[in-house]
Amino acid sequence: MDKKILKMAAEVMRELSLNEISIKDGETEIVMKRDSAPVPAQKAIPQEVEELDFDAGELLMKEDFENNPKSEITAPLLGIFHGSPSQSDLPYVQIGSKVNKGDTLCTIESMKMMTEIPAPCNGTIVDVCVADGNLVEYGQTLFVITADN
Amino acid sequence: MFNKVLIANRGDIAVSMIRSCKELGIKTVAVYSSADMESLHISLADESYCIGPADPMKSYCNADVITCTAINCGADAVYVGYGFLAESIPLIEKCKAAGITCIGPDTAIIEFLSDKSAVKNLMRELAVPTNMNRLHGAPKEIDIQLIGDSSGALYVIGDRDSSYINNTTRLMGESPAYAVSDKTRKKLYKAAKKIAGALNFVGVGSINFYVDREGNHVFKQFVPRLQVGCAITETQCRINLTKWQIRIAAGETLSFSDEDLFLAGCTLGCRIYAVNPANDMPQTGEVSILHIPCGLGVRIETAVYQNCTLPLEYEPILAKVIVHAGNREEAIIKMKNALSELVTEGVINNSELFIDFLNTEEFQSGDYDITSYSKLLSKRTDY
Repeated sequence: MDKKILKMAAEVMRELSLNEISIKDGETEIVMKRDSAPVPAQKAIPQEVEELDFDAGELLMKEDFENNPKSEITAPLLGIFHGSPSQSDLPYVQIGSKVNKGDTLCTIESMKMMTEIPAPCNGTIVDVCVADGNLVEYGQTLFVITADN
Repeated sequence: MFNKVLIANRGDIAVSMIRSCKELGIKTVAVYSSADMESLHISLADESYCIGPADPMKSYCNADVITCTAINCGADAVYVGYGFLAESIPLIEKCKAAGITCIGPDTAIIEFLSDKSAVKNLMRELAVPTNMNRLHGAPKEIDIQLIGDSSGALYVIGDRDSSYINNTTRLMGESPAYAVSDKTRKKLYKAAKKIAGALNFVGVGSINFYVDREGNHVFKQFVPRLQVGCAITETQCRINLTKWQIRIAAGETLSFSDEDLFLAGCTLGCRIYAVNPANDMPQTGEVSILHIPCGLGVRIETAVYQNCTLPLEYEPILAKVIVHAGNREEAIIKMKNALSELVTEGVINNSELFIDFLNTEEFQSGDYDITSYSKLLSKRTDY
């Protein structure tokens, strides 16, 4: 095989943090895989969180996470999405993070009030759908989680 | 003038406010609850945001979430119109803190009008009666429409007879108020101007009076914002009040005086609901067939479209049907024709109730009052 292709493949793997790649030239076959080792969820750094008059988990709990291997976690309110406690901190979770039910996944800021969004079940975060600092609407998908078992 | 306005309402009110913004070259932002995902106002606005669940307290009446949306989408004004947060001091204050204008009354007048004893004292000073005992028999409810700007100009723009009500919901109105004599009309205009003048009123609002058959009047309330009957006055006087409310909030002064007003003819307006007239049951579900009346002098304000679904969570309003004609007889015929042309399938509408009322001797003579609707309902047998 051409050395160039190998080099390119290695680069792609590094860029996308893949642990498997397969390239076939005739009739073109590309297989890429990413089953990165679970990254433990970072413990939320305590900060002042004002109580809102509604249950942030209300919407989340309606979905049957235990029986749905892959579920979307949606925003229970409109506001600014914060993926980490502050800009200098690491994100609460990233793709591959193992989380326990109740772990903070992000906070949503509305009128200077922070609402923590908890994990609805034990599982693994398979997608983070919002970039830090963006406005999220009510009901917008924030994360995709795969529940344990 | 504003650059971008967040419309904090739903239904036909939101639609009409978006249209007015567009005519003024202002960008619009719609907000909606999860029950309103397919509402018309969303598709008419330039941007839209889902702000909360169906419960109005968590969406359309949530001042925090509306201010937060306005800040983050770069709106320089919020427009509620009427209903929901139309007279919410917290919304005005939160917006103000963020440099955003709330189009509508300011906190001072809202606070003043919510203080019943202060209002009573003012009326006493101005010699405007407030004691209901002075009236003989069931009264009419007459609105005097007002508009004022920041330069101090203040005009009366016509009146409405809004006596056809279901408890507190206004079902029908006519402008001018046919049964009110010119002498009484003059007296009411003078009183209304005096009250609004004393409060340095700026914006669009109306003062409602109870008036008995002998022409005695009593102050009922000052509504310092748009209200449902404004569409009737707009049609009668050919002035877009929704648009003027925006202009006044942006600091513009009125480009007309009350002498320029076009007041000839008669305008009738009916609020048609998806309600079964036989049992008052609100209807929800899909409007599978919709035919909307049209023609010269027929105005329809609606957010309903074919195959839309009326959400359970809100008032099942279908449309405001407003007609204008050269005289009252013609307007009545026009309204009956328009209501007969309004066809909905999937949900029952209550236009029959209005046609029946238009046919009564009571309405034709103008001799109806705030008890007329409930009397008509008690007599119904064949819906």
